[in-house]
Amino acid sequence: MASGKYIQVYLDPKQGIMMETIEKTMNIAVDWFRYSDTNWVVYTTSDINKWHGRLKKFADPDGNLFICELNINNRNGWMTKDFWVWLRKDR
Amino acid sequence: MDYDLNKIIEKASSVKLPGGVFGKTCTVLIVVSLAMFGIAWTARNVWISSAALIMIFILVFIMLWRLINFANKNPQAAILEGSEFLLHEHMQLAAKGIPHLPKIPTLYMEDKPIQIEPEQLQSLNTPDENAGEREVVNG
Repeated sequence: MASGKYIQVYLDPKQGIMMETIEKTMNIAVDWFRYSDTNWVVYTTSDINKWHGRLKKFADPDGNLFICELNINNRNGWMTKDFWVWLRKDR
Repeated sequence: MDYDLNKIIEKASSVKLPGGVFGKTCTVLIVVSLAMFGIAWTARNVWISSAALIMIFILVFIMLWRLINFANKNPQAAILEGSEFLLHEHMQLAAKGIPHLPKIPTLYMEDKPIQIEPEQLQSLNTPDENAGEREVVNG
């Protein structure tokens, strides 16, 4: 079984894209958490390029999309309790 | 001076104001300003007319100043209607299988609470090493 990793996704979609449509694609991931209307932490077994391919259609041509791997072992911040609980989950 | 009041009203009605606090307050400002202008126009007394015009200026100046400050601090609340605003707030926090998570200020916390010693507090604003190498035009 492939081991999962966390990625950070910033997706500011192009006009006319509904959140439900994006969520449907995000649901391909093992798990995800959206902490603002454009920022997602995704736990996935797929690589960054695959996610780029999956999400590009929501941003192209005038939206924004940024994806990068996330090392959650070195973390801190000020977030809602649900977020920390989600991050600490055993996977 | 020739002018067509209907054309002016028609043009004014085609102005699109966003919803939310900004749009609502702008509508009220326009109505109050028009009422004041009406008073100034019909009063036929230079003092009443002047007072009305000065009041329009003061009211519009103060309200726009406050509105712009409010919109700077709360852009969503400034332009979104009540239900749109709630929907937007709902859209912010979610997880797979949980479409809406509550956004309650008292539920916000640090992952690992940190203790900052007084001497560390002083170093918080110390720039990173080599941070001064690049010229900052907006600093």
